[in-house]
Amino acid sequence: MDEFQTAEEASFLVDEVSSIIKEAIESAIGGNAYQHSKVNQWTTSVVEQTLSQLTKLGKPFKYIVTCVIMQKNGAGLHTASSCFWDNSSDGTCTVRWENKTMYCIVSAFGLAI
Amino acid sequence: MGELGPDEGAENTYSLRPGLQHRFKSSTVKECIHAILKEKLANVQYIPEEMPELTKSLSEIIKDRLKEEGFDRYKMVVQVVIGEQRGEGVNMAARCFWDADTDSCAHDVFMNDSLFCVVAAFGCFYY
Repeated sequence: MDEFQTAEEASFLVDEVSSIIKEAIESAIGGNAYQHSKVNQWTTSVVEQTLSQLTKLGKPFKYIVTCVIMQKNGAGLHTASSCFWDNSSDGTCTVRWENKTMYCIVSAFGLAI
Repeated sequence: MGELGPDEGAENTYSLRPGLQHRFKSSTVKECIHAILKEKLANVQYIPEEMPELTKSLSEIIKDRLKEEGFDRYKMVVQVVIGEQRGEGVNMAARCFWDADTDSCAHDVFMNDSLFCVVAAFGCFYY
């Protein structure tokens, strides 16, 4: 009668999300060198692409995706996040990517409805 | 016949949406974050060994402060980014897939001579 979702359909699968993020980064900034004029467009496209792929999964989640792109010049960068949620249903995935001229850090958070 | 029992006539009390007073208000949260950053990072220099601890503790402190603010039934995510000031270019973006009516975010940036700090706080209502 009532269709309940299986455990897999309603959970945040880190590997799946991680591969979605990697694909989005590769396609948006794959072979590019850091360019100040384009970086705004790049962060936007990485984030939007990741979000649209996540929503296509069709899971009952609210998503938050953040992306930081930083030029490589020897400076240090640290990120940390703290979450107040339900550990059994919610999850996060962070991907660090770099090439010769820049670092890209994408974090995706999924909160169950 | 047809009596509801001891709670006869009781109203539904489970609210499906937050009232105006209980919304995750961007402005309130931004003020909280601003005050904490000003207090904790006022004279801090960028020291590579200390930064990981500082970033983690800052995100915990901000999350605990937001919990105290009393946003009932809100799940919260706080992200802190600290970087050294060396003239590099940085760009940060965020997109969310949520219920725009109930959910919201706030962010603040703190800069001094040796470091910059960006904090983004997101609040999602739990139905």
